[in-house]
Amino acid sequence: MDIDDILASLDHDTTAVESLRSDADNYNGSSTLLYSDLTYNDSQTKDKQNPNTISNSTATTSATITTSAQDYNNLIELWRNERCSPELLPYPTKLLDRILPRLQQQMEYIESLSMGFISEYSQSSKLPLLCMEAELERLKFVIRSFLRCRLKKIDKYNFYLQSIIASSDTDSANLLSKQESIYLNKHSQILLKLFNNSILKHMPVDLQAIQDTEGSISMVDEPKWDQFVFIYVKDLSTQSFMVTIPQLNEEVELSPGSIYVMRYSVIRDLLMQGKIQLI
Amino acid sequence: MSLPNHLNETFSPEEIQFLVENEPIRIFPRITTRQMVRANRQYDEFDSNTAKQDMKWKLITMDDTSLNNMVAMKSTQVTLWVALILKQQAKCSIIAPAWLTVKELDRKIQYEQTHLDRFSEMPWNWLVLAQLLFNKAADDFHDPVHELRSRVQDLREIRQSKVLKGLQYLNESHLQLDNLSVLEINELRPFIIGVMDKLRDMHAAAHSGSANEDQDIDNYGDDRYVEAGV
Repeated sequence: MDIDDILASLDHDTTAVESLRSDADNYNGSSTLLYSDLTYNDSQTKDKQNPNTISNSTATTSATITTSAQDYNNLIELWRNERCSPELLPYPTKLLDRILPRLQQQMEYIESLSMGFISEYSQSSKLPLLCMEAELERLKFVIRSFLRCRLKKIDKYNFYLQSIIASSDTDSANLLSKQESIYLNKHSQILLKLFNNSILKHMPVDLQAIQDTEGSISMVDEPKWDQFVFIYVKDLSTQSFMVTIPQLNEEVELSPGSIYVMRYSVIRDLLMQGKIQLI
Repeated sequence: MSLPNHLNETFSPEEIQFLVENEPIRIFPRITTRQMVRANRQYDEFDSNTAKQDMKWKLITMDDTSLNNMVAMKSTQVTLWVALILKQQAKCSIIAPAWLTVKELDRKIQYEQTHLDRFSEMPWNWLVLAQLLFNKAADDFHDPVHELRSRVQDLREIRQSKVLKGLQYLNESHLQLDNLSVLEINELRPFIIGVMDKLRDMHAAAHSGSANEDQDIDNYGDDRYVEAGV
């Protein structure tokens, strides 16, 4: 007799800690959260309201530990996507809102530890402090590299981004963070001033536009939508996806766990759903 | 610009190593960090800011429970970069993964030689991990390190020759490269993407007349054709 289902259900509700853990694991599997990370908070509050789970302090701490590790993994993945993709990806507001305070807290914690270090601890147990500092540096490196990569793209697609934001689609609302949009505006103002003063004011009036798309070559740089990228199909739960390459009228099957070189425009939707990862 | 040009659209080998260092690995600790039950009773467990006899590990990017519960010579799982720090201080020995043995590597080499059309199933980080462990934890292997090194080198060369053979199939639609590791992908990336981009541009330029109608409907923007012309 096959009793796997019964065993699984028995496993599931032994303790509140277990159920929270497995929920946290489910975040791992559910792939929609990457670019719309609402799911996190939603299901966490749901857990708290759920009368069946006895949410004592151990349960909540174990849940936060899992999510902070999970948050880091998500950040790494977003960083890799951002580095490889030709376009600017949406800014993960929620994720960074969770990570940055944690970073701040950890810095203060290390500070307070090293202040009391000489009197409280024996010299032999410096090791945790060393690792905590190393970890802080690693996390800061990822965030820094992520933001710098985004700034580079903002520089590059300056006029294109402005035109998207001006058209005020729903997509563009969470594209940039507050600081990034300030940067975009200020930077393009400075650039325009430079060009205007040095060259453009000497041109005939109808050649003075810097965002001319009518001329022989469009002056607005758009992302290369068809650029090739390496992708990894990470959603192991489902069967393979079918995508079509419209320019060639060709259908390609993406099987889970494999690596492909694909046009970005073809797999953009799957990327946004978090079903694949750029590598 | 804000990101150096050589990091544009690819990773540096150091960054690949950074990614690999985030993976878990098993170690034998040589220190004990697990606190006695009796010692714990004296303070509140959850008030981590108050001083304690032994400093607690409080990490924000990973699960720190395993680090707070280390018992000497009882194997446990930690993140690789922590393992390397511990190893550097002679506070642990690293357990090599199952595939990093002479027997297993021989099997992989065998597989590579019999199946000329595909890559064997190596973990995505094998090359980097082997390199790291050979350098930092050479004394922890059961097999002699020079034999492991030569086998890893053999495997790398076989796979490289397969990659070279595969490059003649570069085309304008897509490629499938299962089981290629992250470092191998990274060294190929600029070349493969550059060539395939050019092939696509040439294909698009040749067929632009017939494909134009689809273009406007799909709203991809026709900058591609402009670039092809430039």
